[in-house]
This record gives sequence, C-alpha cells and structure tokens, in this order.
Amino acid sequence: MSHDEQEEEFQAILAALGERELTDWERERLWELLEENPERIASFSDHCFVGAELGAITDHELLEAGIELPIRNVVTMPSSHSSPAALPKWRYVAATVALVAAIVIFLVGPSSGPVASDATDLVIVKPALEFDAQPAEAMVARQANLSLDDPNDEAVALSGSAALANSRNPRGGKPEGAATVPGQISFNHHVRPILSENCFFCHGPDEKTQEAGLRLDKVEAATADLGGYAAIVPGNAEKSEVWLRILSDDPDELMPPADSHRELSPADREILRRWINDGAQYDPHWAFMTPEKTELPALDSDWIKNPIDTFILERLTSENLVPNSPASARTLLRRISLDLTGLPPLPVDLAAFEKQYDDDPDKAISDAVTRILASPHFGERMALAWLDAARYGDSNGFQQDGNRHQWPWRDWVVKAYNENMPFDQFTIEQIAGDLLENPRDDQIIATAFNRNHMLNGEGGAIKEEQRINYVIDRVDTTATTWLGLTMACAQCHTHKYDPIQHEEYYQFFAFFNNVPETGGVDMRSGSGCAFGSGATVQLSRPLLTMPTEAQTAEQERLKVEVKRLEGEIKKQTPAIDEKRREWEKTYTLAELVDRTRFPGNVSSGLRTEEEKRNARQKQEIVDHYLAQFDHHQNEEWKQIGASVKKARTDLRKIGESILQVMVMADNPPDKMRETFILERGDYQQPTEKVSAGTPAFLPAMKPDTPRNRLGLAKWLVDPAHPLTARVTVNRIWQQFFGIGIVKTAEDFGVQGELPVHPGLLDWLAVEFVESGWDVKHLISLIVSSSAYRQDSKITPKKKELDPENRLVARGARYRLPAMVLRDQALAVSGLIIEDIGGEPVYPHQPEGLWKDFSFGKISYPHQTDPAQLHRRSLYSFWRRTSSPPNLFDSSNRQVCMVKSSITNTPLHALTLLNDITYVEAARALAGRMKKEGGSTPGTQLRFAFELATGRLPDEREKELLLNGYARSLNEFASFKPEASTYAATEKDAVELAALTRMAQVILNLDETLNRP
Amino acid sequence: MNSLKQSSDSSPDFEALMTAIRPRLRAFLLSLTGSEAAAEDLTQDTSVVLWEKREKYDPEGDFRAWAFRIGFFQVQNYRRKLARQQNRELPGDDLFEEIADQVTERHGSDDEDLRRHAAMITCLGKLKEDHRDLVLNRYQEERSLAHLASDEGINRNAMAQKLFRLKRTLLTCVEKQLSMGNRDKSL
Repeated sequence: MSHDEQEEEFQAILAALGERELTDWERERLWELLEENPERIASFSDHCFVGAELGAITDHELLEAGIELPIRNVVTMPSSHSSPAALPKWRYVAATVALVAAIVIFLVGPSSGPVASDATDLVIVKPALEFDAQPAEAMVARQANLSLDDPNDEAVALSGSAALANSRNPRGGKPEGAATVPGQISFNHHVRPILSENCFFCHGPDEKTQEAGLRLDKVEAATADLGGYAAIVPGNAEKSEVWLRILSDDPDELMPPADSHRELSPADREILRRWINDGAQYDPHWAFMTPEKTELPALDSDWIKNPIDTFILERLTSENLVPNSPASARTLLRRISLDLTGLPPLPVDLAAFEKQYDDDPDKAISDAVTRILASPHFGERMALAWLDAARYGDSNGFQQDGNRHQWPWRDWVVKAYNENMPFDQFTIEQIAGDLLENPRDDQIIATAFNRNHMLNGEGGAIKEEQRINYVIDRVDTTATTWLGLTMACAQCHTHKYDPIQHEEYYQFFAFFNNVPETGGVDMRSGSGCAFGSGATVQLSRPLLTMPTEAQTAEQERLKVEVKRLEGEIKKQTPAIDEKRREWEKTYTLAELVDRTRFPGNVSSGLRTEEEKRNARQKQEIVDHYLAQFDHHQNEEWKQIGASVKKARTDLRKIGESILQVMVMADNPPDKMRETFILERGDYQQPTEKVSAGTPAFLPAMKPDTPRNRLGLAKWLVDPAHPLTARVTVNRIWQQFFGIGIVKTAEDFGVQGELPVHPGLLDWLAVEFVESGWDVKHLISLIVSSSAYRQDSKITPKKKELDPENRLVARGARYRLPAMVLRDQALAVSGLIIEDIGGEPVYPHQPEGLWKDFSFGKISYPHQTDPAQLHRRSLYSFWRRTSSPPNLFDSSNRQVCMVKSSITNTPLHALTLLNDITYVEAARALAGRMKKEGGSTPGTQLRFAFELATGRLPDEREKELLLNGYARSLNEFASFKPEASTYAATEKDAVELAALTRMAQVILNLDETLNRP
Repeated sequence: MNSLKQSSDSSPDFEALMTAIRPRLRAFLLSLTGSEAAAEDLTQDTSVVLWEKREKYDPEGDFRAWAFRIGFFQVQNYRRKLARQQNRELPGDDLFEEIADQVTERHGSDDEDLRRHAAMITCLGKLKEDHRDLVLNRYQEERSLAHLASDEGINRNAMAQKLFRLKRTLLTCVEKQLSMGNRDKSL
C-alpha cells in the first residue's frame, strides 16, 4: 500500500473516530498505522481531544469573544400514547416492589439457577427501583431519543437481548461493512452482500435506474467490454473499472458516490479486490435454487439423535466449540410444554417425567412430545405466529375501526394445526379454498386469510384506491409468508436487489385482483359485539353467512310472517291506496322534506310521482301510512301495519346477528377484472395490461394448473419450489430457538441474511416436503434433537463468540412472548379457563383506553365474568387501533409480521408487577398456596415455586423465600386494612397478603419469565 | 472556562474536580483504546478508583496528571483482559506508552490546556457561521450525529466527513495560533 493510500486510510479512521464506534478492523489498522509512523500520534491525539475541548467552551466565553451563539435545534419528542397505565393505582404493590426487587436480586445471584444468558434477567428489578427518580414520560422520551441515535449508542444503553433486537438490521445484509477479511472468499457469503448493499441500487436489476447502463448483478453485464475497458476484468482488479472507481480520490469518479449513503469498509474493498483477482466467480443466489439433502457429514457421536445434530455438531466442531450438556429433566419438560402449548407443565407430569427420564431419556422425551403434540393447546400455540403473519384482527383498523367477525378463521387455524393438516393443504385451502371443487364451508372460511387486511370505511376514502391497497396487502402478505420475499419493493419499480420485475409484481397482483369487492364497506350494522361497546360491525363482500340452525328457523318463520301480512295488506290495497292518496295531499313540500316527520325513503318516495316510485319506496310509504291512525281511523290497518313493521325489523335484526365472515371469491371468467401495471403503484396511472403469472426467476407454474389463486397455491407447494419449504421450516425453527437459521425470516432475497447452517436448512426443507409437509413430524425432529435439549447455561467464551446463539452451542433462553407470559400466569394461578375457540373475549384493560383512541365513540366492555377475563390471550379482542396494552412486543396485526421481537423497557417489568391481570393472578396463586400447598409456609412457597419454574427451590432459595414471607407477614400485621385491600379479602387478610406478595415475587422471577 | 487549576487557599472540591476532568479523561482513554465504548467504560472505572483513592490525592498536586496515570493503569488491565479473551496478541505496550506520552505532553497540563482553549475560541471565530453552528451543536450541545445528518438531509458518514474536515481546520488553526504565541513569547 502506498504512502498516500495509507494516509487516506488514516484520515478515514480519524473521521470515524469520535462519531461512531470503530470496527475491529479499523482499530487494528489504526494501531498499525500509528506504529508505522509515530508522527501520526499527535494528530490522532488532537482528534481524540477536540470534542472535549469544544465541549468545554461556554456560552459566556463565546459571547465575550464576539461569537454569536448557534441556533439551537431543540428536539421535541412526540408525545407517546403508551400511557404507563395503572402504575400508581396499585400502591400497595408499588410498596412491595422494593422487596420483590431485593429478593429477585438474591435469587438471580450467580450461584443459583441457570447462569443468566442475557441481561433481561436483572432488568425486571431495575425500573422498579428507578421509577421514583425518573418520571415515566422521561423514560419514554429517552427511548424515543435512542431510536434516532447512532445504533452504537443503543447497544450501550440497552444491553442484552434488547441490544440484540435493536442490532437487527431490518434490511438484512451487512450495512456496517465487513470487519474482517475471510480466508476463503465466497460470492454468496461475502461478495454479493457487499455488491447488493452498495452497488445494486443503481447497478442492479432495475433497468430504469441502471446508471451508465451498467449492472453488476449479472456476470455477462459486469464483464462486458465497454469500449476498451470493463467494469470487472476477472483475474485483474487493477484493470477493473469497478476497482479503480472504488479507489478514486476524484469525487466525480468515486464509487459508491459520496451522496449515496453507502461506504465500503477497508475489509469490503479487500474482499472485492481478492474476489476479482481470483476470477470474479458469480454464483446464483442460494435461496433461489431448489434445496437438496446434501450428504450428511460423516460424524459419529452419541450426541447425535437425528440429522439436525449432525449438522450442528459438525459446525460446532469446526468452531472448536463443544455443545452444552442436556438441560435437567424438569427444565426440558417445561421448555417443551411452553414451546408446544404455551402453557407450563403440571407438577404431577414433571415428577413422572423426571422419573422416566432417569431411566430412559430418549423414550421419556419421545413419549412426552407425542402426548403434548396431541394436546388441543398445541394448535393455540402454533396459531400465535400464524396470526401475526396473517395480520389477524377483530376490527378493521383506520379511524372508524369497525368490528369484523373473522374469528371462525382463527379457530380454523387452531383446528388445522391440531389435526396436523399437511402444510401444502393448509396453504391451498387458505389461498384458494373457494376455488376447490364443491368447497366445504370450512375451506371457504380458510380463505379469510386473504381478507384479514385492514378495511377503510371512512367517508372520504376512495373505494378503488382502497381496493388496490387491499390487493397490494395480499401480495405482500403472501410473498412474505410463503416466499420470504420483499415483493412490495417492486410495487413502484423493478426490485432493486432481487430479480423481480415491475411487470412481474402486477402479474402476481393479478391473482388477487379478481375478487368481487368494491373497496368500501358494504354492510354496517349496529352494535359490534354482544356487550354493546358502541362499535359497529363493518364488513365488505364477499361474505360467508353462517347462521345457526335456530337463526335459520327463525328467519324462515319471519319470512312467512311478513309474506302473510303483505298478503293481508294486498287484499285491502285499493281501499288503503284511496285513503293514502288523500293523506299525501295534505302535506306541503316543505313538510315532506322534514326528516323528523318522515324517514328518508318515505320522504324521497313521497316527493316522487307515484308511478315513478320504486318498490321499496312504495312498500315503506304504505307501511308508514298504516301507522297514521289519526288519518284513517282504521283499527285493523293499524294492527297490520304494526305487525308487519315488527316482523320486518326482527328479520333485519336476525340478519345482522348472523355471523358473516369476509372470505375470498373470484369473478366469473366473463367478468374477470383486468390488471394493469400501475405506474409508481398509483391506482390512477394504469399502463400496460398484464395477466396472472409468477416471477420468471422461480420455477414456472405447471402448464396444467389454472392461472388463478388455485394454480398459485399449487405452485407455492410444488416440491421443486426453492422458497416455500425453506421459509416455513425457518419460521418454525425460530419458534424453538428464538432466532431463525436465516435471521431475516421475512427476507430470503439477496438483501436477506445468509443461513448460518445452510446444509441443515436445506435438509429440513427437503425432509419437510418428503414427509408430506408434516408439521408435527418436523417439530418432533426439532424437539427431540440434542441441539434442542442443551442446557442454556452460557460461558463467557460462548457469549463472546456467539452472543445470539446462532451456532446453537447452547440451549436457547429468552423471555417468553407476552401472550404466553399472560397465559402462564393464568395457568399457574389456576385462574385459566381452557376453553378453545369462539368469539373474542374482553379481559382486563385500563379504563378509557378505547375511548381515547376512538374519540369517545367506542368504549371497552369491561367484564367481570371469569369466562371473559381468564381465557387464553389468543382470544382477547384485538382492536387494531388499540391492541391489548399488556401484551408488549406483539405484532400490531396491521400488516404481515413473521419475526418476533424481544425488547425490554421499564414498562414491561412494571406491567408484570402492577397490571391488574398479574396482580389478580398473584392473589389467586396465594389462595392456591393456602388451599393446595400444604399447611406450612415452607410447603406453600415450594408449591408455588414449582408451579411457576417447574423445579423445586434449593435450600438457599427456600430460606430467602421464607425470610421474605416472614418479613411481609410482620409488615402486613401492622397494616391490616391495607393488607385486606391488597389481598382483596377480609378473612386471613394478613396471611394472604404476605402470600400474595411472595406469589408476585415468584411470578416475576427471571426464571419464570424466561423460556428456560 | 472550567479550569482545573485550584487556588491554593481554597480546599479543592473533589467531586468538582472529577466532573471537570471527565471529558478530557475520556478523550485520553479513547486515544489509548480507539473505542468509544471502551473509553466510556474505562472512564467510569477510573472515576471509581479516583474516588476510592481521594484521601491519597495531594491537593497541591496535579489532578489531571494523577487522573491520567490511574486511567493508564486501567487501560493496561483492560488490554490484558482483552488479549486473554481474544486469545491473541495485541499491539505492543511500546506503542501505548508512546501514545500516552505524546498525549500527556500535548493535553496533559492545565497551562497547555488553557492556551489551547483560548486558541480554540479564536479559531472558532474564524469559521463560517453555519460551520461554527454545526460544530457547536455537535460538541457543545452534544446533539447526535444522526440528528445533525437528518437536519442537513445527508447521511451519517457524509456528516462525519464534514465534521472531520471542520475539526481538522480548527486543529490546524489552533496549531498555528499556538506556534504564533510561542514566537510572541520568544520575542
């Protein structure tokens, strides 16, 4: 490297210094550069200090020196909607917090339980301690602040899994640039990510933005002769224009250009230079090639239970890592139960399992897995992720946020998982169940998947624009869920990174564009739920009407009744008409338009000449007249009029009460809606006409399949399809290890992450297809592997090497999803109502929340019935504009989401300590401890501890719990009224208050809150 | 100017000394670690040690030199730990002693600091107004790089580059001022 180049590199590092964290590579180079030329140290040291020196200058000094003060940009934080609800309300609880915190700290100490795998463990106590000192708004503001700042700051401020969640780059790829240069350079692993991140935006698949007509994503174009020179000359970087441009010091020549938001790290450059010199080998993108089972690595070890372990062990061995030993029997059963059902195991099952495990671990696990997979709660657990992907909600979103009745689809999903419906059928029925031959109702309900998008019923919404939005939503959801592709990017222009043409987006769009829908709300009816919350039901066709037998019978009866009464009226029509015409003449026009006197249809009808009135106007005018007893003085007419009016109202009401599910349908062939490419995705700018089709870079649709949704569904589950099986097994893997083999579960395109265990991912994908898309088989394989069984203990070495546990050298440990946390608390406390399916329910939530979000229109129907309060979280009513506030980190269910997020803010911990649901659970657990936990505090505490953590407390833990209990007992004895309020009982108030406090401690242990 | 010099007749307020030294201490530690995160952690560690040893501090002594020396020991520990963790050799101690020496020479005394401070203010006065505002917003107001970048509608790297050029201009100017000052004195 020349002196100038070195100097340039040194200056680049100085520029980064003080503005962001240097990469390891840059730091190495810094020391080398300083060592090489110690004269640089002076300049380096000045740059280290300049920030501090400038910071020391005061305003006063500036003014004295005649310098104007800078314009200070005051940063205003948006006010946050997430109110720290119900926090101060439970003041007795708040008083408890310090004690809880103290005990939790003891219990989490290094010598007890599994070693903390990340910082989530202690965080649960911190906010409680800090809360007095720092108002919640300040914390919220600080969070908002962080999100705008440098990611490095975030990583420092939020440690552990929070940092992990935040360090995820939503676009995948490697924006920070490589920090080191690998020994062996692979196009897919090292080169394409650099090109994709830094070059493809302008020199990629999109012809419209191919600057200088150059594209670098294809070998032919990249190496083409451009008149005596070429972008890439394989084997010779020094002759490659790409390389010369990267090195250029002329800002007009430099690539990537200074204003491009991109920069190559020194290691990136080195990778490119070596790749070109090695011959610039282009390989196809891994995820677009049909997966194959590669030959299993030849490894012989007792550790290997199935091929999953072979792949994992091979990788670990190559990294000089040894897998962790298996977790304890109790931990394993708790892990399997929570992963497969979202509910903790019962103590009796734990004891039996432990015993069997001692004799024969493999048999014990296989029996337990078989038993748990057969549980009806399996489907409920699996549905959680699927509902997030399907953006399921119980309301429409947008300002009006009317209610909808899509829950029969939710129940369909639970049932499908429970019955182990093969995933190909699961796919076909949801995408095209309506197009199957003689579809059953349940197959039509399955298609609600594509109607779960939001629905805009606002007056000002343009229907066609909305309709296009819904179709776009279907395309994006289908592409993300099955293909792991960010197809939305091609909505306005050809995809910048993946080979998806603008035209191909609209060919895919055409599959979903033939629904007989208006884009507006077609049906509105009164109260949206049985509890009169003020919400209306707003639906859009096509609808599947699902009356109960009783409803059908009543409908029939009323229809007959109406017909009979109409017959009666008909008999007397001449007489009625004569009197009616007389009556009509008594009104002036001004009176006729008076809506207080005449209903709309009657008013407009009366203002129309009789011959021109439509049937409905005629009928309503007659009905209306019959009620005018003052005019006709006919008792019989009055009777008939009242009866027919009532019958008609009842008929309408019953119609509205019948369940109607928004489902898919297609226009008949002769009325097919045409699809056009929309310029920039604008519904008002259709250009070229296209017909339904799939992107060319993926295998073609079979010629004998129809070019409609059914053909599309079959194409998705074609065994040769490179994406569907990979994307699906990756998402399932994510549920059992916290993170996918491909971290970007939503993007398998070139901007996505490369698989950490590519052989394993492909093996699982092929195995999944070969097993007949058998979901339970796949899950059995995963949970019986040694990889899954590992203890989650973490050593400093493993943490340093692999903080996210991508290599799977240990068991995964992370906080349970919020829905499972709530279900677990309900189960441990014994409050849970385990009924499956049905209408959504309304558990506790803070007062006034819905009202605030709906400008006072909709209020939350607070309940007292346990059947409403204590159902699993899956069944909580999901209002899109105001989702259940105690379910933090949940998907917003507005658009498709396939990756779970685990963050950590003080609000989470405060919610778990103070939210009414959790306080009630603690009270109920206290009751259970007294009733079922034996006669001494020791046995009672042990009982609760086992229910919550799945294991028995050791001596030290017992002592801590007992001490905490004794202390609480003492304190509450001096505050009896408070004890009675806190424990919500008069009888044995002091004892129950002390037990409740200990129940809160146990329910908030890191061990309880984390998947073990 | 929050000078670290204490008049000899007042007893030094140790906490105030610690607060005042913090930014320079951090800069010193940055120069020895090349890492913002490590510098921040080590500043914290060093502060703890300083506080624990406050009885031993001689109010007549040079607080800055004392703090830098303790900071240097912390860096040595940190580097040993790092080498162990990563199981490899780090660049030699010689380099870091050399850096520490040079840094102490340039930034290690209050007198030098005062002169640099005055020069810096003069040089700030010579910057174009919008450039000066940018520099002050970043380092005096401590607004984040991302905020400033988004205000100007450029990316972070471009903003870092811009700031770097301004800092370089300022530092060159400060050098000039100081050497002029020396000439004045020698005259």
